[in-house]
Amino acid sequence: MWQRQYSVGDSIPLSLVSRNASGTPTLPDSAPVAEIYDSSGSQVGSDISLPIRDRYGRDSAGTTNCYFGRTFRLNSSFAAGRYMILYKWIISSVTYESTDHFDVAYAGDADGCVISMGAYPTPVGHAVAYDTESGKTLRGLRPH
Amino acid sequence: MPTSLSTTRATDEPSSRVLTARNDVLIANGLEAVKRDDGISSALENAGIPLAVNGSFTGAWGTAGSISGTYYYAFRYIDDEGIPGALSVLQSDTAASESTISYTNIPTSSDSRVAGRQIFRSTAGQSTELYLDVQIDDNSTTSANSTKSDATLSDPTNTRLRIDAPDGLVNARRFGVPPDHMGHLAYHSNRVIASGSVPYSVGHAIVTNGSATVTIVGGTVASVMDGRKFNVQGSTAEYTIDSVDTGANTLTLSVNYAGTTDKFAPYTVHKGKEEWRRLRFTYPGEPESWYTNDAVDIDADYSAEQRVIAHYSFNSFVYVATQTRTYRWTFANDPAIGDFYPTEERGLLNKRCYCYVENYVACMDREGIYLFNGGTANPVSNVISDFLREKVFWHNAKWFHAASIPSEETVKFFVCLDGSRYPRHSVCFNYRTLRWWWEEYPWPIASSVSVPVASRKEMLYGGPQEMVLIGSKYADLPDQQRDLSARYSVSAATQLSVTLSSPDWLEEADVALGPIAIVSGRGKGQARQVLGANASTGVVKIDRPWNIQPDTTSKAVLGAVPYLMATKVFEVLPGSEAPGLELTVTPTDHDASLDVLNYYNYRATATDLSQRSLSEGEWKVTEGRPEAEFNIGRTQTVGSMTDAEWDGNVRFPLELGHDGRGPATVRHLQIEVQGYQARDQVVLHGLDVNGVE
Repeated sequence: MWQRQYSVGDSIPLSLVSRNASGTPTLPDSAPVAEIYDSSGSQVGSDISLPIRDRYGRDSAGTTNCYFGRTFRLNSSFAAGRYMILYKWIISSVTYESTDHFDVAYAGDADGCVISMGAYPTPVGHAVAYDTESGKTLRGLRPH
Repeated sequence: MPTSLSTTRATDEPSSRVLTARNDVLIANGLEAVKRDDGISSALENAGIPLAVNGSFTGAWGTAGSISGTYYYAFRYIDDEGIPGALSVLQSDTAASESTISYTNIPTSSDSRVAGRQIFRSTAGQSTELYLDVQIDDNSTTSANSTKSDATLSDPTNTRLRIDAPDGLVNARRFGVPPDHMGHLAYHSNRVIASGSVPYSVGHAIVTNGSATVTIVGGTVASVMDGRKFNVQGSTAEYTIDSVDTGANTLTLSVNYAGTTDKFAPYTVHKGKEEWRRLRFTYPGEPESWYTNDAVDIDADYSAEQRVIAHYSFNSFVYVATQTRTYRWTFANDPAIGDFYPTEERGLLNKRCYCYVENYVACMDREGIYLFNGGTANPVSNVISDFLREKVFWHNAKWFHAASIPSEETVKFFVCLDGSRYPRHSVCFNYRTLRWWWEEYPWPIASSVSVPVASRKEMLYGGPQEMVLIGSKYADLPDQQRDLSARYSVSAATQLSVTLSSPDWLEEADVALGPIAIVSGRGKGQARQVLGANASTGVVKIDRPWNIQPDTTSKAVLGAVPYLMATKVFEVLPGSEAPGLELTVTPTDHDASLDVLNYYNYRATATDLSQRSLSEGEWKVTEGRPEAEFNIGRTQTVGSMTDAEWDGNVRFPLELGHDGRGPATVRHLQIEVQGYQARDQVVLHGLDVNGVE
């Protein structure tokens, strides 16, 4: 499935329901893994383990939902172009795979969203300090 | 250009910041050591000076002389401002007619903030008060000597340090480090107070029966987890974490895991239940003096619902909030002997879901939004409780936050109304008119802060792409030029792009990441995010495909901010003339329009207002489309005539069409006004509906 176009710094959803050959949701032998490849087939970054979501959730038939997912922030390694997400999971030693695709269309800022902010006076002017999704803390002076 | 202070902060929890009496800022998130920003340095430092631990530190008397007696000594670390850490444990040595005490193996600190050490020594035979014996202005020297006599040590000009104050309170060891497990800081009565022990549950854990090793998947193991507790959710068994491996992302428990092996165990790492309802505080006037015993607890209820979320200072008291209750904490000089008084059974959703509004604190908990005056809670959101209950995605409530905008007499609570991680919506309340509305943003708004700009307070918002946005009446794009065209004609389009005629932005960055909307013609009503905008060709790339591809009949607006207003449901007066409406707006200086939709008898879909396309003066209806589109520009062209000074008033008959039914079947009527605002602000002064009540 093609997701959409993103810019660097956006967070993309990585998610799957681990199913067996019959299509029945089944807990895998270990956490599924997502690998992201660019259009030339080169893997970008390292494998991404997907944690389980809603561990004890059940569908109407009482089956564990087996839903794994997390968000992944596109860092500066992602140039403009099309990418493929390859999901892998193993059930009883059998490997299963599925794919997603997305495009990166804009350079953006790899540091992502500003998740915390504070404002305070400093000896050199009023400052705004903020934290980003990438783990940076920055301080700017004299807003606007 | 902002200064980068750190690149390795934990991001699973928002930070709390407090300005101290020293004009330093302490920053806490409960997942790492509390940091300090002095506003000048280009890096954050650890708040607090490390505890001095003796290790192999030794003082030994030698060389013949006249000094005799038992002497007690200890050391502490200091930073470059002279801020000290807690004193080490006292050691002693006896002099027998000797002259020199030699200190060896003086510990150094791995904390880069440590700039020196101070060694203190008593006079002979007492250990109540020590005096500065050796000052070392570096973090590397490991030996030093002293020949100071008692008279020199106790000279009034010399620095002295009582172990305990005359009233018995701790003195020399009050300079502890801030608690790294508490995620909220606030300032009150010359002290910094910490609360909100942060539980960590990101991802899942791999636990194996009989093994002490726990692997965390999808979360981050931090060094501060060493010594904390580990629980598998649903189990009462609690394990102490003996050590951590941040590289392998594993925890080692102090004993083997005794529960059932689970490769996907939901878990929690936390400081310990005793910290859940605890507040810790500093020595007055010393924001980095956190004595470990300076703490108070509110009543013992260790259910997760009653974990302290945050506290805030209001009307000379401190209010401590759990998820479901708020306590007033009163104390005179010593917080340790204050009292907690329960107030309302309303609490806080998280540590950012409160803001100050005139004489109140506007708060949000799971029940909704209320105004708190320190004693009673006014549940102002009761009128929209259905909306909050049905629309809000509480799963990511950790990232909700509140903003007060005094210039607009509005408070906004940023929430998730979709499945996004960070809020893309806000629930807004004008506390003067008591009106509610909600707003949707093209990007996540994950944080907010109030700053003084010119002579008033403005809100800054944390957006995507490291954007810090200032709220204003107009759409605010990064580096937006104010002379962008009001609307553009579309000359071509693909699934993922549109080509605009006469592009007038200078650089792609002027419009990138902002919204674009089709406001007229084919594809009207669609909005997308701009991901690329060629200033030469006018090609604008968008994030998601058009549902209906625009064509040359379409007009687009860059930086478009959608608005929607809905009236109440009117009842059509029996026997009245056919309903009609009269709009009064401020004419815009540039091309602009708004749409009016009409809903009959509680239908979910709008009524087609015309069976055929029709236009008359300021309005037009298009066959197959439900809305009546109103041109609200100051210059109106009707046929061959141009009115350059339209008065902003238009009447529109509602009897056209009705899906082929006669007006007699219409009993109830609701009007919606909607559109996109960009270049000019759309101001609706009046909407009169005739023939209804």
